[in-house]
Amino acid sequence: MSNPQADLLQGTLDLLILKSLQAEPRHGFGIVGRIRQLSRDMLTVEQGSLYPALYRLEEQGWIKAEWGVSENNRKAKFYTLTASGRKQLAVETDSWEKLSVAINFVLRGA
Amino acid sequence: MHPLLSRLRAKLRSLFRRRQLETEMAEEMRHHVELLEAANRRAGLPPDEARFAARRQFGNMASIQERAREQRGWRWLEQTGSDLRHGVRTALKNPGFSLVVIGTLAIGIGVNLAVFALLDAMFLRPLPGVRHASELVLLGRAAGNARFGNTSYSVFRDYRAGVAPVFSELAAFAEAEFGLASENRTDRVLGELVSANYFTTAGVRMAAGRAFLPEEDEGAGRNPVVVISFRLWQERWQGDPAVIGRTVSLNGHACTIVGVAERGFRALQLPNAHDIWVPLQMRETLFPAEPRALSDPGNRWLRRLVGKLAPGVTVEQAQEHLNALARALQPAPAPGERLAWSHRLVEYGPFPTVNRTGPYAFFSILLAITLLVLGAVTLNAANLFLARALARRRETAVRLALGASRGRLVRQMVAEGLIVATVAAGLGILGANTAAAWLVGQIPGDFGDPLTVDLVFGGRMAGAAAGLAALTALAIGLIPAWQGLQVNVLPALQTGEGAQTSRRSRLRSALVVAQVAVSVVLVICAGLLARSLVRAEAADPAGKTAGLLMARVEPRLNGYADVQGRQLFVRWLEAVRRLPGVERAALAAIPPFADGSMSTGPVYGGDLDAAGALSCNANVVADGYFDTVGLALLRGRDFSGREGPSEPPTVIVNRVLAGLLWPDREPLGQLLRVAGDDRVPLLVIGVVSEDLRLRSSSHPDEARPMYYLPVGQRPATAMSVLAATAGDPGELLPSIRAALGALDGDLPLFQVTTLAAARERTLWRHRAVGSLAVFCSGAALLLAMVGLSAALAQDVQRRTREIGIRLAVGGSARSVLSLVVGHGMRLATGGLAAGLVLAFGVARLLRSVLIGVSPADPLTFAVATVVIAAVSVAACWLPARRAARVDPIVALRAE
Repeated sequence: MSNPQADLLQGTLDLLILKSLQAEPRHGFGIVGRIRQLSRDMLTVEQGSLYPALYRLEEQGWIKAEWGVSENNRKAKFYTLTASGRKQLAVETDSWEKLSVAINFVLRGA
Repeated sequence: MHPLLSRLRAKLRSLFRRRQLETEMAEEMRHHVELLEAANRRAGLPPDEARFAARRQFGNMASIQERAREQRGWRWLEQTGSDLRHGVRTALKNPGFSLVVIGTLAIGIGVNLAVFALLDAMFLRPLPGVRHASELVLLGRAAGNARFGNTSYSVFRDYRAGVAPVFSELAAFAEAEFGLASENRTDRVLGELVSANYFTTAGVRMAAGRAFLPEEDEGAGRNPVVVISFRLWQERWQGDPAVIGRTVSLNGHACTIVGVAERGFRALQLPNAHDIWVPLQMRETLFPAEPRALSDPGNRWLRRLVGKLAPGVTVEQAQEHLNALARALQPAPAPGERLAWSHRLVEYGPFPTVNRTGPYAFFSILLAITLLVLGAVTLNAANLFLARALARRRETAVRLALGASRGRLVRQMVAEGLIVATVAAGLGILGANTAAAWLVGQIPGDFGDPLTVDLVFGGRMAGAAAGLAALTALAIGLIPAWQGLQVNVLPALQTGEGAQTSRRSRLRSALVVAQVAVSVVLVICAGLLARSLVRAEAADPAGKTAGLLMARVEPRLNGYADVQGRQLFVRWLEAVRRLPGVERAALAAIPPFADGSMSTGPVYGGDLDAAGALSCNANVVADGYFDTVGLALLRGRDFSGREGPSEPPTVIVNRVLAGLLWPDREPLGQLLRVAGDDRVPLLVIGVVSEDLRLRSSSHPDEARPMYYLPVGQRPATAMSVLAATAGDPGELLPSIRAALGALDGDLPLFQVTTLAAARERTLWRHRAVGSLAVFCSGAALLLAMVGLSAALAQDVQRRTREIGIRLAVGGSARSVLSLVVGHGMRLATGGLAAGLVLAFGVARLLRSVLIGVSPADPLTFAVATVVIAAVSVAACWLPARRAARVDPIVALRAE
């Protein structure tokens, strides 16, 4: 991450990737774009972090890769959320929400 | 699919379809860059710029790919495979470098494995054929100073009746020499008199026939049966099964072969190796000349007892039971006194456990030397690898810049070390075989025969080899990695330099200093051992050992009784004295430098009474012995040669014994008494000088008290004839053999040797350790000097520019020379100082094999210091001369 949010908590990137794949399969470039779009240009995922994370998630069995044809008519690798990936997304979303609520309490309480 | 299963599938897929995954990953990222480029163009950048910007935005593709790979599959396994392949490629690319490293490491690992093999064969592994070794214990008699000695048949009999609750078996054995005659051939064969349960106790099986039956333990002379070794069976009868039931002549008595022991079994204890076994009760029949009855309680002719512990009984419990038995068998000691005798029990091992100190000291010396050598070659290899790593800093920097992780580079270095060390360990095993066989050849066995040890290169050796290889691999991989990787990428790429100069050379210097120190220790050890051998050679009294032939005969081997045996010796000696070329001749029961010793019991007389009786060595000799071997007759006269059993017994004592018993009196005409011997006391007729060849091993320089008895008044046991000649003693052998043949054609002649060769043999420990130390110190010194020279050479090369400037601004070649030599000598002096301190400690280990030389011998230390300093100067000279010849113009232009 290159923005002020660079120090995102470990595991947040995984959550963002899973979330970006919730609606439809995407390739790497598409995932970067989707995350930027969803974050209203506030978050940019760097390729240096993206690809290792994708391989890690694939290794975990949360996403799976398939070759398809991209918008510029070229062979591209599309990532899809698997069933266990959806479950994982739910779990991580839940825990993230709890965490952010808790942190907000802390910040406001001061 | 279960998530774990799918992960496993993914891992396996990544392992076996690596190439496809690699292409896919590259393709995927290329696609990403293309999309970035397209986006840039849409944003209005010109095509070229759009492409470059896309690459910049994406980042270092190789590095990202490497990090992505880390996330996938069994990365470490793939990497190990490729690291090993890389190692092999690197090793093959520099065959000379690899050969030097592998060759030196093979020597280092090989000598260690050789010593391990010997340790394994002599201490760890039960001897071949022995089963259930963990349940076996050995019993030796403990009385007074003797902690683990021979015991008597009567005690064995008494114990056997009373040990039932703690031992399931108790057996006995005693070594003996036999004359084995069959098919018109008589050989001297080493064997044992054993109790009938000897084989069953030790778990030894029979290759043919049967072991002894329990009833063969009973009735003196009633069971003339023998068991022979597998080796003798093959050698003498070519493994003919019909040998069972065959009658052979043993010491002139017909005996029947009833069994062949299983292949490999030769003895329960090293260094013995036997070929024949006979029941204990055959002793009086086969050895009629033995003066004392088989069951005489004072006749301690049994070597050891061997017991098999009953199930669940510990060694301590058995020992307590044994002590109780010993108490019951002897009168109660006076209050405050200890039992007169008892039996000590030790767990079974191939070497007599209580007396291990000797072999232990020997092996700790061998191990110390070989480990030092391993240290020297490992340091040398680490030094070479470090030199190469430093020379490759630029390559390292490039690889780091291209995305390699430092951990990966370290693993590669260790992998390369591992390959080199593994090949070296393989070669080392081959070399160790030869070296161990050589070492075994240096160790004399029983009765002066060669030691028989089965060297087995099995699992334990493979483990030791693997362990040594792993240790060396770590050392030669990690030491260079530690420094070779301290590279700052940018300066290194620009200039080929980059690491911090001072720290880098400091590690290399430390390695060189350590190499020199190790070689100093080895050189000093070798020097001490060499000096000690020279001292031993010089100990020859009157230089008379040059032309002396010795050959031994045991008349009992052909069934001679006492009187006939003595007559045979007298007639043989007369015949030998008449032979042309023989100047002097004599007989001795214990010839000079023999392994064995003889004692008739403690002696007293004069100032010492029976209570203070002195244990002391004896010898039985013929007249002319002292003259023949070069001992001076100081007072009185020699034996006459006409002494007989009916005349008053006479004795000649040495100066030490005379001084102890009659310190201020005339020893001639005094009486010497032997404890436990009721016969008439011995009349002293002469005093001779000390025989320095009979040293105690603990005090090698101390002359021991000793007395000599005449042949005519002692039982006829084995004797050696000693014949002195001015010429080559070997040429006397045929005529001496013929002289014996004319008296008895069936008596084997054995232990034929010259005095010089016998002395060589007694020095085996010193020679074995000495040769090893000389070889190892030479190798270590050579490597250390090569290391020193190479380190300086690299240093000179690195500083060529600086040296060029020095010369250009008017520095003399001489100043450059002294600059380099000075740097080298600082390293050498550091190593020398450390080595001298270390050597001072290590040399104390050598104490047991040094004769007449102190472990801190100043001369040896001084000579070693001078030699190493001189060699170091020579090693510095070559790189220094190259530095002095640097052409300033060339040096300054080179950059």
